[in-house]
Formats: sequence, C-alpha cells, structure tokens
Amino acid sequence: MSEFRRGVLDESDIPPDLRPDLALVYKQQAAAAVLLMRDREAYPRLLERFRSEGASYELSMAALEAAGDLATVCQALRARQDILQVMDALPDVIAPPLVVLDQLFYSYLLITGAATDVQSDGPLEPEGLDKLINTKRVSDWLEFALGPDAGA
Amino acid sequence: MTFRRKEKPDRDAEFARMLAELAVAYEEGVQRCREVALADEPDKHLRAEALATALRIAYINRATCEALLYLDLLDHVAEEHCVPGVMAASARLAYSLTASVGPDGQPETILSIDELDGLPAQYELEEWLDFAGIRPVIGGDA
Repeated sequence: MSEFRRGVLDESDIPPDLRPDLALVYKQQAAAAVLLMRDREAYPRLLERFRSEGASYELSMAALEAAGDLATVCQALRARQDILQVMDALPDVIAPPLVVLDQLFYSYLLITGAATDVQSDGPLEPEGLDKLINTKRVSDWLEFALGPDAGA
Repeated sequence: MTFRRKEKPDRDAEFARMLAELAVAYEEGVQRCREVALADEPDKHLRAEALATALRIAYINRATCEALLYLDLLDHVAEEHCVPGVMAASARLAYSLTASVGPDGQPETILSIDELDGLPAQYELEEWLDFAGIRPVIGGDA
C-alpha cells in the first residue's frame, strides 16, 4: 500500500473529541483536497507524456496508482452518504465535490493505456480540469478543507 | 430581418442513448464487482476484465457528465431516471474494480457482497433497476 493511502487510512491523528465517523470523513475530505491540489499539476504532465510518448508500462502504472489514490479516498467518502447529506445541508460546511474528483479519477483510468480507441477520447483536457477546479464551489471547498492558504 | 431557426441536436435520442449506456455499464459493473468480491485473489483474466469494466464505466460517466454540462441535457433529466444516483453508484463500482487491479492492494476499497447488495437502497435505485430491466442479484449468487 502506498504511503499516501496508509496515511489516509491511519486514524491516529484524529482529534479525540470528534465523533469517530465525522472525524474520519473530515480527514478523508482533507486527503481528497490534497489529491486535487497534487493532480492539478501532475495530471496534465502525465496526460502530455501519454500523448507524446504513447502507452508504456511505467505510464500505465503511474496512472493506475493515481486513480487508486482517488478511488481509496472517494470510496471512503461515498460510503458515508448520510454524513455527506448532512454536510450538504449545513450552511457553514462545504461537502466534497465528488463529481469533480470522479472526473479526474476516470481520466486517469482512461490513460492507463488499456482504453479502446473510442475511450481514448475521454480524458479531461488540462483546461477542462482547470475550469472545474476554478469554479467557486471547488475553490471554496479547497479553502474549507485545507485552510485559507490552500490556493497559494 | 430574417429569423433563422437554430439547428439543435436530437436531445431525446442523445438522452435515451445515455441512459441505456449508463444502465449497461452499471449492470456490468455490479456483475464484475461480484466476481471480484467472490474471488480470493483475482487472477490475471479477472483483473483484465475488471479493468475493462472500470474503463467502460469511466468512459460512460465522463461522456454523461460532459453531456449534462455542455449539451444542456441537465434540464431534460427527469428525477425518476436517477442519473445522479446511478452515476454515484457506478463510481463506487469503478473505485472497487480499480482497487482490485491497482499496483498495490487496497482491500478496504473493494466492495463486499453486502455493500454491493446495499447500493440500490443507498442510492434509491430500486425503481430505476426495474425500469431499466436490470435484475438485482442478491448475495453471493454471481
């Protein structure tokens, strides 16, 4: 298991005064925000290499690993639909933009080199990813999940 | 001044095709996730099938998202088609399949049979499954 995923699943740094299920969701949400910040830089580079060099074992593994990181976090978040619905309803809380995270997850999958010719048209273009990340909803969530210096 | 009628794509046809493809991908995803959940250790063949199904879900969901956002289909989606719920449930299937083929194992991300059985209720898909003609498989009967 990668270091990142081990960190996501490690519960030792959760404040003891939070309800365990809530604390886990908040931790996973922060992990999702870290991934989105990582991948806004990493994804366009990987896509560019995939298109210029063609599929290779190394690139496929890199894309699968990145998709796996997102899958770990998003599976844990989506498993708590009840908490996500509560977060959506609270005025001072911003629920994670799972649809945006999914688009990135799917795009990594589609550049694993295993996609059919038709499917290879599917990944997000870097401009599309930027557009999604720069929406107010996602910017506000990044600030909520990571703190006010998140976009810096 | 003359008014020219703007050509519009046939949105009903686009929408019907989108729904059908979502349903096929969901059904295939559930079946493949069951096979993964029931396997002690997915073999090479099952891993290849799992990745192919994850890619199908990825492509259909990417295309659906683009269509909803940019083809102005969002207003055409009736609630009973459960598109957000189907997309969310399909995403969970794709996470699970990806975890089963990834370079390092993530057993906690792989959906169990109980979790798979719970997806229709969690995303309120029971009526949609009936509408789409998908027969739910319960328990370990893959």
